Amino acid sequence: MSVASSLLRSSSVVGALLGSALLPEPALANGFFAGVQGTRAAGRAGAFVAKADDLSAAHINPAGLSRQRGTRIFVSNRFAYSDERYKRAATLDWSDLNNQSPAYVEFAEVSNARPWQLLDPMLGVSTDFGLKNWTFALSAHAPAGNARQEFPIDGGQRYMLVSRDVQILYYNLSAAWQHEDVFGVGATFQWVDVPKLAFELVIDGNTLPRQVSPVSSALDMRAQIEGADHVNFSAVVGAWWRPFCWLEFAASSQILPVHIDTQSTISVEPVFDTVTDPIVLTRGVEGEANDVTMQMTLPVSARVAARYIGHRADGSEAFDVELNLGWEAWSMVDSFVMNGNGLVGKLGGQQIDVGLIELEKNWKDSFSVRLGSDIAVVPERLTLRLGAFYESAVVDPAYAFVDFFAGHQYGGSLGASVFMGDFELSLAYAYMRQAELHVRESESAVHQQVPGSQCVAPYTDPDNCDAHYLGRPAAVANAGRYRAQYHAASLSLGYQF
Amino acid sequence: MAAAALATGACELGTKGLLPEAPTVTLSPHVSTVATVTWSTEDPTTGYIEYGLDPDNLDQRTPMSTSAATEHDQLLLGLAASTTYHYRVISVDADNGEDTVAGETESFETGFLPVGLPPITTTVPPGAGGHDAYTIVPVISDQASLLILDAQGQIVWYHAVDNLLDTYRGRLSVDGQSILYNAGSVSGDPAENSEMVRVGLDGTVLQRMPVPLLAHDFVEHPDGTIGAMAVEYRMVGDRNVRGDKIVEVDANGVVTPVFSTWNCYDPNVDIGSDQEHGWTFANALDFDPVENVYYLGMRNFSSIAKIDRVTGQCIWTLGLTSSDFQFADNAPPFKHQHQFEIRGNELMVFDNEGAFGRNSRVTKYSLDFAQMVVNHEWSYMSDPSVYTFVLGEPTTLQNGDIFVNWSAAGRMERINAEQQMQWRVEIPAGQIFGFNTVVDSLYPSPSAAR
Repeated sequence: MSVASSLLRSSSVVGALLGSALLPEPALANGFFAGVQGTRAAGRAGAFVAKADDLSAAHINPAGLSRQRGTRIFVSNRFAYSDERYKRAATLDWSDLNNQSPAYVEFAEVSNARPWQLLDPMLGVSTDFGLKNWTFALSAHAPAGNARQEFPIDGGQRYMLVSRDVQILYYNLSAAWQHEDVFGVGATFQWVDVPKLAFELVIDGNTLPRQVSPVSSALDMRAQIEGADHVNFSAVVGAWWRPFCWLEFAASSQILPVHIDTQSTISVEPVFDTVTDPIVLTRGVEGEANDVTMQMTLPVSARVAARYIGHRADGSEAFDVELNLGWEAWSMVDSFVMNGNGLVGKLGGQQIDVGLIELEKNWKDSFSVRLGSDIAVVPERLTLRLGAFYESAVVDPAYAFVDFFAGHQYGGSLGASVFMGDFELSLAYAYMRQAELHVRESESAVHQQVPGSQCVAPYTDPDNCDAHYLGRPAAVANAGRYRAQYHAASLSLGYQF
Repeated sequence: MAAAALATGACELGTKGLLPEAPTVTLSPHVSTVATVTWSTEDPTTGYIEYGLDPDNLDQRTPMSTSAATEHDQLLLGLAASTTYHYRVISVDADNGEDTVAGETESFETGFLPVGLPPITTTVPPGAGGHDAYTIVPVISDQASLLILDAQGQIVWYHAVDNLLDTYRGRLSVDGQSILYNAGSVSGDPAENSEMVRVGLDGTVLQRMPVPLLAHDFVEHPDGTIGAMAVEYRMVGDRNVRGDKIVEVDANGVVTPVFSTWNCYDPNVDIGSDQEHGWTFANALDFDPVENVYYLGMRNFSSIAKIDRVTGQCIWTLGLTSSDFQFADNAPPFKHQHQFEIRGNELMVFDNEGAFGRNSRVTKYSLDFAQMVVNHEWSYMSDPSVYTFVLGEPTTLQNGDIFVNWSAAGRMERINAEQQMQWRVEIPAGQIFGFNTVVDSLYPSPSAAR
């Protein structure tokens, strides 16, 4: 059995354990991610890079594993409710004239019809194998977030997104080493499995010149893209340093980006039953085909931390306060690209090039501040924790999109751990809110996808481009108001041999 | 306006400067069914008004203003009398033409119609398609007036002819900013004080252009020049013979003759009928801007002439008198016709007296220019049939339906291709519809008159 097939097999087992059918999307915070995976980390609003004292250290700061002695088993799950809403800005529909004036069209607010994320697990085991300075861990987790979105097919968002289902699993193999209680380093090798990456949006199948339909087109097509990419790799490295018993510094970094490149299929169906002919997808001499690729990137990141530790007289930790500063390189995400490599849809006698659908993102790096604390209220029995955070926006308002609400985010959290012999039961609740994002039509840069449009860059040819949209490839699709708030509860159980 | 801002998200989106403030409605002192809406904006904007009978379905729009401003006003046209209307202002950022906000929906009530306007009865047979356009039409009675009827047959604009004259034709001016009509007399002697009158859409009289001896009809050229029919008397022996001419009236009211029936016909040779009422008795005028030709209908010749606008020469004559055409054996000639419509090789004529008995009809012909033969396509009489002793006009609508104005019978109707009546309006006996102009919109638009 090859190494690869072994990995695949083991991944299937772990995936089954995790319930891969319900796994969420990607685990930093902003961008694709919403919240923090790991109950202790969640209770501290993610300020956990230095503390890093449970198995979530594997993906937050693997160096923290070095202080987890013995053998430990850890199981947790995160329950989340994502309240994501979008209200498209009123627009002028120049395809609907009355006395030469366009219709003023307002849109109802839409919200994600699948806000509940009931399975968002992490499990694993760590052991020092009796070694004094080493700890090893094997874990798997689905990064915190909202895997699924579903919006109405006739909603104002439909030219951006109708539904999304992104499932990502991280399988982590970690090793950590420490020098006494002063210094530690660690690394996690990650196998990133994307069992499902599905997007659905409405594209305008119009091929006629000078026709823009900002509200609804008779040739609206429902484009569904679904695929998987099982083999990707990444790595996390980290370190901690405790120069004084009361002060600790730490740093960690996701050092390898994940370039997801799914082998996918696409289907295109008319939205309205006025189009009765089937749409046949073909490519060159191959004839009928529907295979496409879909590319996304999960970025690198880095965090630094400082932790103050208060001690009791017996030397045990009474409380701590940790400050994390984070950077996430979301600027690596320029766009989501679906490439059909010349795929053409044929509808009746009309030919629609569906070869390239590019959802522009142009995200920018984000910076975060996280503050968290543990308080051992009853030593070795009960610990309470709390935290708060702020993270800068990933998305420029011009590129705001409903698939990932990525504006300025802030939130707070509470948590507790109860220790019963060798068992630990932890709970956490986190609330996160996105600052409302407002995008005017004039500033927006996301447009309807009209793959068969004859209006090409620089979009100023009056023979092919609608006079009211000169300079734009099509009508604006993302103007409006974006609101999001998230509630998440985590529950974990740990056992130490 | 704070509520409007919240309602439309203007504050959130940073478009507060576009919000229409203090919208006010004023009814025209001249036409109680014309309203002017004024409003202001903080930022320079363009905009338009949505309005209608249902506050949740404002299904009419004014044309969007084209120049940026912070003080705005627009006319609301096509309103029925004594009716509550709802409206809101749509404001568009003049800088980018994209960002837009809507004001709050407001309401107002139009005024009463003045006494003396005819009651109008509208009939739409079950299952019929009705009508979908405005009709500009004079009503000739004790007090002549010019009306605009909407698709429901309601009076949405009116103007009383104020110099004891009649009016026979009204048109929406080519620039869409005013209504033109002729004020004259064709019953008995033509009037020396006849004139072309330009009235603003708010009912204000903007211009009076004296044109002595005006006859029934006029056209407006794309450049605004008016081509009008007028009577031209000449002495023939000891007889003062009533011929006709076409004059053109420029923007300043300067009148220039461009054609005379005296140039093409000889009263001693070309003799029609009813000579006691005049010789050629021109009664209908059309213009083809493509060929730059006039078509002139002459009642007492029962003929139509094609006239070169530049040279004033007759190109051909078709009818019972001095005709260059022959009617095919199965083609009934028209007699004492009034308005007509020529499109390519198709001719549709309102035939006042060609049918048997006291029945008027519309007849469609096809013209064989090679053989100079007139072939019959179809004829239509109203049900019940009517006799229209004066005026009358057929108009082809965009969808191929025919609008027939049985003027003196006080009836106008729309029929489909199967000659089934779709819509009809009637006024009481003793009142006469003048010629009609059917328009899709009362606002300036590419689709003007048809």
